[in-house]
Order: sequence, then C-alpha cells, then structure tokens
Amino acid sequence: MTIVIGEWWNRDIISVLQQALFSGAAPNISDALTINGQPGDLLKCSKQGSLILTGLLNQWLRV
Amino acid sequence: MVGPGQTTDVLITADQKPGRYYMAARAYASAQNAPFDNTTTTAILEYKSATSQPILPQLPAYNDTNTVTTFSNQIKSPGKVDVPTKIDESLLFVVGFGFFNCSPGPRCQGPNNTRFGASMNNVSFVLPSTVSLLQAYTNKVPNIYTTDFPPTPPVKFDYTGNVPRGLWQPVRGTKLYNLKFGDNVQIVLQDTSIFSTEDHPVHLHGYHFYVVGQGFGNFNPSSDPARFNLIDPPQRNTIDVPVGGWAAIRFVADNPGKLSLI
Repeated sequence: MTIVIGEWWNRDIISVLQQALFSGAAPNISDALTINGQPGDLLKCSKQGSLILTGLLNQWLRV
Repeated sequence: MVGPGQTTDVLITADQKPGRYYMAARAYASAQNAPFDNTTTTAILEYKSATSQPILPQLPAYNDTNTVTTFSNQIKSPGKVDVPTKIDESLLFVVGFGFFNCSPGPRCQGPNNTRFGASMNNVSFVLPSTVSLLQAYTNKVPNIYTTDFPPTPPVKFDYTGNVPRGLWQPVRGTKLYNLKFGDNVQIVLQDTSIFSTEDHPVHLHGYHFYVVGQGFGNFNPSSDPARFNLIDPPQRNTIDVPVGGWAAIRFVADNPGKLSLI
C-alpha cells in the first residue's frame, strides 16, 4: 500500500490554480496537510481507517 | 524529508511493543517571508488488537535545513552502481523564481507589481498551445520551439548572493536543448536567491538519474566535483535542490523523446 502525503484546500482546487494564474500571485496555501487524503487527529475532520506502511509519495500542486 | 514529487520506499520491522503509533508530517518551509500551511498531519500505525493512545512524535522545526541535509546525505544506493564518469554534456541550470513586471492591477498581484514566475537559465518555459513538442518534431511543424536553451546561464552572477533586480525578470520561450543518443550527461542544478532562496523540486521525465553531489552556496566546478559520490550515489527521478545550494545529477541519454526537466 502507498502512503500519499498531500494538501487539502477547503475550496475547489481548480479555482485555486485559476486564481493564481489570473492574478500572478502565488497560489493560496492549503488548509491542511494530509496522509492518504485525511488530515488526522489534530484536525477535527478525519475519517477512521487502517494503515499499512510500504511507500511514501509527496504530491504537488504544479502551477 | 520527502520533497514534492519524490517517492521513497521504506521497510519497517514491527518489533516494538504492540500498540498504536503515530506517524506525523509537517512542512519543510525554507523560503523567507513565504506563507505556508503549518498544520501537522497524522496517521496511526497499529498492531492488531492494540488499543493504547498513541504519542505524538517530536518533529524538526519547519526550517531545520540541517536535519534535512543529514537525512538526505544518508540515502545511498544499496551497493556499488555504474555512474557515468566520462561526461559528454556538462550542463549548469540556474533555477529559481522569476518575476514579470506589469502595470498595477488585478492581474499584477505578485510582489512589487509583478507576476510570479520561475525560470531555468533565465528562460520561463511556455507550453505550446497548438501541438505537443513531440508532434512538432515528428510532423516538422515550424515555429513551435527553438533548440537554443542555454547549456549554462547566459549571464553569470553571484547566484546565492544579493542578486540585482535587473536579473529578476526572465525571458519567456519554448527552448529545448538537444542531446545525442548515448551521451553521458551531468546537470548541476543551482538555486538562486532571487526573491528568496528556497529548496526546489526538479523532476526529469523519462529517466532516473544518480545524485552525485549536493551542497550550499554557489557550485564550484574546481573543488566540488572532487567530493562527488561516484560509488553508491542514490538514484532518483526527482531531486529537491537544497535551499541556497546546488545538486549534481548524472544519467545516460538513452531514452529518446522530448522530455521535460520541470
């Protein structure tokens, strides 16, 4: 199983990108980092699930 | 530390006291005055039937470059590998932020009336809108790209020092650099302090490469190559160029195509 370290925006990600391209400013920073799409116990909005560790992957927002 | 676009395979031996253990991650933020998401994400590694409350690990400071460096320097190939030594193409690509001047307004929200960009050797890449690079090459479509991407920076400057504002604006273009099939290639990727130094992830399509060296400050072609690891360097397809520093990669150009270094 793969572990994906990512970012979550409380907003349509395409609009984050479009806003950056339109304005010429840096994209808005994310609202939470995630492991397999979930922020985890320190933020009050994760689902329960199980985890087996085999690999790590870091996603990126490419502007 | 795992940089954007990087993959790292890890093996763990479940030999600790059966229980529930946090894994946690937060940002490595190396740029000055740049906002970043400072949350910590967690997940739990748990042994079967374990019910204990996991303990949050202590993580390095957001800008702890020393820990990042020590960690990265430990990563090597499992044994001796075949690193190209007779280099046919020795390239230096200066990478970092670039800023396009613009008139104040809603489309000019970068610092000091600019639009944010990035460049390699002062070229900010423009993706063709009509055909792909490979289509343009195969079908001989004119005026899509040029083959004059500079092998070294067109203007030499103190890359990690105080860079004059006149060098902050790159040129836009669709510039390619041709390699011969079978070339032994070395590329040194050099960060700049334009706007801020920052660690920059760079990915090469179509290849894995050996990371033969990394360092801080400006790459010194006289003294740095003597310290390259040509025995068991790590193999990657994405490198995180150290903040205010450089990384040297080597590969054999044996996979033909129009391959981006992004």
